Amino acid sequence: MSIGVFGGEGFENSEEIETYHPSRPSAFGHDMLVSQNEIDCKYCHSGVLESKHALIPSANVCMNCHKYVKDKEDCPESAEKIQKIYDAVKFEHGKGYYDVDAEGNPVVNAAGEIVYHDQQVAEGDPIEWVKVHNLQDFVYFNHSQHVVVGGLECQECHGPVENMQTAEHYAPLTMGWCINCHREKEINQELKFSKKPNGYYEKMHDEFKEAYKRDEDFNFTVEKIGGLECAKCHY
Amino acid sequence: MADNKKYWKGIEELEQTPEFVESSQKEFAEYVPVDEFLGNASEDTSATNRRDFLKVLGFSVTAATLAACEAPVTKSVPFLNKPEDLTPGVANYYSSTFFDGFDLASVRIKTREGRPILIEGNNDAPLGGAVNARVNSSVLSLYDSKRAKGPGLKVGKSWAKNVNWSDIDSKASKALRSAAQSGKKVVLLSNTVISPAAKGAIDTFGAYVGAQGGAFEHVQYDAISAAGVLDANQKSFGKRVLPTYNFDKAKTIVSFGADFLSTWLNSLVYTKDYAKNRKPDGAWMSKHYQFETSLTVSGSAADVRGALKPSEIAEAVKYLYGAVGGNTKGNVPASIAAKLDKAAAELKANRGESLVVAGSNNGGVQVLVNAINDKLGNYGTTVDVEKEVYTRKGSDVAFSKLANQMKAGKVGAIIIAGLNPAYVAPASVGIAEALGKVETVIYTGDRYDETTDFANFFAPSSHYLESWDVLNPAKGEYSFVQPAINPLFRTRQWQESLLKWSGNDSSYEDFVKGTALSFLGSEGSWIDAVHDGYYSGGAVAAAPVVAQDTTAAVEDVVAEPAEAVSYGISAGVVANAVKQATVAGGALELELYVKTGLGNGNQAFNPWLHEMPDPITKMTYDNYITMNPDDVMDLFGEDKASKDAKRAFLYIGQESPAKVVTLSVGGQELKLPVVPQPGQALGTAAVAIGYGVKGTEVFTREEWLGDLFDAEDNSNNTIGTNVYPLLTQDLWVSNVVTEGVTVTPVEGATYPMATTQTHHTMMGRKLVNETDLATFIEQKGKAKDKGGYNETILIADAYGEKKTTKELDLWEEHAIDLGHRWGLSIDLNLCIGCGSCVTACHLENNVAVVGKDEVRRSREMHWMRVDRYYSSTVEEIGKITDFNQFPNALDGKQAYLDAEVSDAGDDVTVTYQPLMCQHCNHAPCETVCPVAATTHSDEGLNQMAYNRCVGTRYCANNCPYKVRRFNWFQYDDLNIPAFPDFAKVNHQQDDLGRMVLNPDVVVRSRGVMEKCSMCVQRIQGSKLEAKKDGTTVQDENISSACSSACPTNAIQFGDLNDKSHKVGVEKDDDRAYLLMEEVGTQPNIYYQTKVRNV
Repeated sequence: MSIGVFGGEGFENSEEIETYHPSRPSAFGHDMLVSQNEIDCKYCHSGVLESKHALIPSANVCMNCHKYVKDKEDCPESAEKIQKIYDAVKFEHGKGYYDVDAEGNPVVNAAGEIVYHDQQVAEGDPIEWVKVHNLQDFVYFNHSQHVVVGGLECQECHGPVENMQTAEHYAPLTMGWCINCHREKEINQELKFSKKPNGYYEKMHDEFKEAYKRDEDFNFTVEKIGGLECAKCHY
Repeated sequence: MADNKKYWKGIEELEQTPEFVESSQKEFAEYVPVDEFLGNASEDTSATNRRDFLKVLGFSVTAATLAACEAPVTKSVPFLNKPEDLTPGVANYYSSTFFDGFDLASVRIKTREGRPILIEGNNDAPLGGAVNARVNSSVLSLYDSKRAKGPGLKVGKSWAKNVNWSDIDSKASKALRSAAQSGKKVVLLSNTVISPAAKGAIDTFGAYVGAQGGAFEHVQYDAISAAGVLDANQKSFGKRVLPTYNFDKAKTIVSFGADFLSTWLNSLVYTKDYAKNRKPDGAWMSKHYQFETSLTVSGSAADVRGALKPSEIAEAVKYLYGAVGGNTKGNVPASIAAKLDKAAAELKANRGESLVVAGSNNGGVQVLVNAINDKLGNYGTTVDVEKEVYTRKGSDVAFSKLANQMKAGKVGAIIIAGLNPAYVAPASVGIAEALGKVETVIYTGDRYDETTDFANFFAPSSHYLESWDVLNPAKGEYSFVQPAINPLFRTRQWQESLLKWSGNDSSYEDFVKGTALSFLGSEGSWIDAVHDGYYSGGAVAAAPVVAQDTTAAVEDVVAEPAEAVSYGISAGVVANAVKQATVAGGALELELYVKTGLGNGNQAFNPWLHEMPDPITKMTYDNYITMNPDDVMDLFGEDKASKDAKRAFLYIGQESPAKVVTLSVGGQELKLPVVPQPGQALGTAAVAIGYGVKGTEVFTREEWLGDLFDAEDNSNNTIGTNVYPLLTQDLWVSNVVTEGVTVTPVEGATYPMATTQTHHTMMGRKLVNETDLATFIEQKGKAKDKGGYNETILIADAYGEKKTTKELDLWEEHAIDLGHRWGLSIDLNLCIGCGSCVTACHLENNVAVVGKDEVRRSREMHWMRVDRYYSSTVEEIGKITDFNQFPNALDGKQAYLDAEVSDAGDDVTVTYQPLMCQHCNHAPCETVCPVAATTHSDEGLNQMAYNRCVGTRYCANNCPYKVRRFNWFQYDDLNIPAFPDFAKVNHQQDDLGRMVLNPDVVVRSRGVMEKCSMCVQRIQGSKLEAKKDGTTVQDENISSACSSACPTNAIQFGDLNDKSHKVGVEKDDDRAYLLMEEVGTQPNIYYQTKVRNV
């Protein structure tokens, strides 16, 4: 028996992940945002486009919509959750952003009225979110490689988030699971996912096709371009 | 039957003696060095051994597992309002400038999540763009927890606690005001200030002092003085500035003791220029003569080198002036005279395309050098006086004058910036007495050090990565400093303090911007300039032009090349210079040199620089006396004629410490270890300055210092010894002492030295392949043929048939031409051994620092090293040219042993070889790993999966290149009290130091093997960028840490399968060879044969 001594936040095995349901302060509502309102995952989790991290959106991203959408009439519980964002960024619906003094009270003018602004002004405490997907420190994983370059849909690893209220583990995130996908996933040689022909892969794919043209069973999987090599993820 | 059999190791076990029973309980039967780490007595007596520890751990693991059925919950805290250009996981780069009064470098700072983690050169900048170890290691100095955390105020004899800046400001202002009003002088003592904004702040302060009725003076002094050069230029050209030296235009370079590739003036600019014409396949290759005392980086790069005593160097300059047509004579040994004659002939042949420089701080020598360059028509071509360089401004005379005024009580207040005068001043200045006489001493250093002892106010200045500035390093060139992080502690730039104390409340940032706008014009160009890090041209502040000394008649007129400028340095000036330059020689002469690693000592708290082996001696952590091996033998009364005796006596290694001598100079006595240095001039001793800084004693302990450990006064146990006080001063501060120097052995005393290389020759193998320029040209296209300088190694098979190592192979071929094949091409012609790559690798790959005692046991963790080999004629005897024949093997062995001790006296040549994992296509390490922790990738990398490694160390034993490093201890965990050493030296140890770690690279654990990954994280990063852009990986977009840090571009990184990459072409070059090809490992690292221009 050993424990994940390398990464304090990592999991030991898939069973542990299946039972990992950290309690959240409130039920977020992915289902409503994605299924009902059809918001693209990448709109909030924009890190997938450029970074290794998907990123939990910063409050200003939430405010792009919630500056207008308060949802009081439809769903009182949501209003409570939205209020958390408003409290963090110091915003009052229908009026605007306000600044706070050292004690945390809204800044008022001479007449004792709260002064409102169009842009966020106060620097308060950011919202703390509970992290659900924790990867060990000794694994390098890059979202943009899989989403931008590989053209994967988020659901392939994260499951039907559009039906989940709070995000839950779908994939075990174990090395076996990663490797299995790299073994089976066939690369889109026609590069359909990409808007333009990808100059990086074109030459390489042609070379591979040439090298393996006699092999009828040849599946052009991630494995074939080095997707199982240690130093692709461990360094 | 088998069950009844009893195996025993010895009679003790068979009889179960009490001693045996006790020892069998211990993990290690014999003494293991782990105990030495315990360091304190209580740990020694502890009965807990590792097995018990594991038992305890076993229990706690179970307990922890039971208690936590659920993994711990981690929180993710995104921005409230995310800045658009800051994305977690994506690095940001900022341009800035490193200038500490010693090195100047335009740099690019890599930050991750707001933390600066890497310093690289800014290649677009006109000045610099190259970095050295001192520059790229400076990022660690930012996270030094021993820096001052806030301002200090002396109350009585001790420093008050919790002082805030407003206290300092009100009290310091008051003290300064009263000093000004008392009619005494108020002085700012600093190192060279090249910032027009700082100049503005100083002027503001000066005006304020003036308004109070006081007199203000700004004195500049450089720790490593160049006042001699400046004063000589004042005399020769009427301008007290440095000229621009164009090393890239010089076909013949003669240097007299100027280590211009490592420590002399703007060494980084020179290095970059110098490297441009050091490849043999260009239009021409420069020829470099070096005449010097101790062996330096420049001396080892030279084509022709002569060793001279310091007093003889002035003679050599005089001799050369005579030889190029002047009227002076110099008294030099015949062997040197021959070399000088050759140099003179070539200098004359390359009029206007040659360059002579001297490292001496003697104005006389420098005037002579100016006269030589003038005679050679080098002004306007290789030496440009019009393009003034301002990076040295210090005046030795002004400094000693100031000290005298202070002693006389004429100075009421002194502010000290950028300089630690109590540490760097020569003893003759009497700085302690002087500072003691000043009522108000305000110090703005970065930590409590020698000078704070004399200060009443401590106003710590920020690190350059937390600072704003605009610098004017040369005429028309501006360089910008911008912060990459907010100040970590309560520090403030000294310029801002000056403004504050003159009643000006503007921030220095605004002040810098205001100054820059005065020549940039618009807000937009300010943003561009800060973004680029430099600004060239534009309005140039008019420099005062002083009339030239043209009173005397021009001595001789020769036809000048059109572009050259003649300054006609007069015979009178030369005669005077000769008088000034001439010094009496002594039986033993001392040179105080500057080491490549530590420089002037500004970063004496930086463990990376301490652990970086010195390029020449390969010693870490100390300064020491170097002497010619023959001199050392004489000193200790040994028989220097016997090679065996010499080898045995001079060897320094793990169990062979250095001998200790007492160095006595003008009444000062120091005990120092002595290191034999081949190639050093006979009759000389050399010691590095920059060591022995107060506070570095926290790193050391008894095992580090041997017989020099001071059990009573720990403050004497610094790393190395401060030899700044040994500097002498006449008109200029001199780093040589030519008379009254003695060394005497301290009977029986020894000092452990931590060296990373104990053997110094190649044992006849083709490690560094070397040839000369004539052969290179003659054998063009035939170098790899039989008899060529780069002959392909053939080995006989079982039938005696000669075959290449590719044909004779144990391994199966695997496709290496498909896709990428990453590799390096290392040009040994360009490598100057500086070690910039070694520290860059440290930064990039989170390599642990292990401390002196561990380095001594060869356990340093460096992923790459630079091997230094000496060669002399002796080695030729043992050279193996045919690998099938070892005729007379014993003779060969003797020859190798003899080669280890040079009989060449002071005539030795040096070659360097950067060595990292060779990423063999047929890797011996991979085949012996029992758990497949090290494997080969399709892209040519030899991969290392740390998590898989069980620490058998088979791989390291099977590696012919010895590049694998093993984690003997948990270097990164402060919570293991058994390893106090690492806590002291390892940057990864404290919470602050950990900020420097590269988040893309794992920190390795105890019991794990590690090695060069060819910066796989950078490869993956560059590949990903290329994929996202839809292009192939471009050569300029991919680099390894070592290749990007190399100031001479000796190391090239790229795709060997891609002809658009430099390495893809260079691998097929005439000069390209594989290291130890005969072993059949087929590495992906190519070396380029060294070609000496002799």
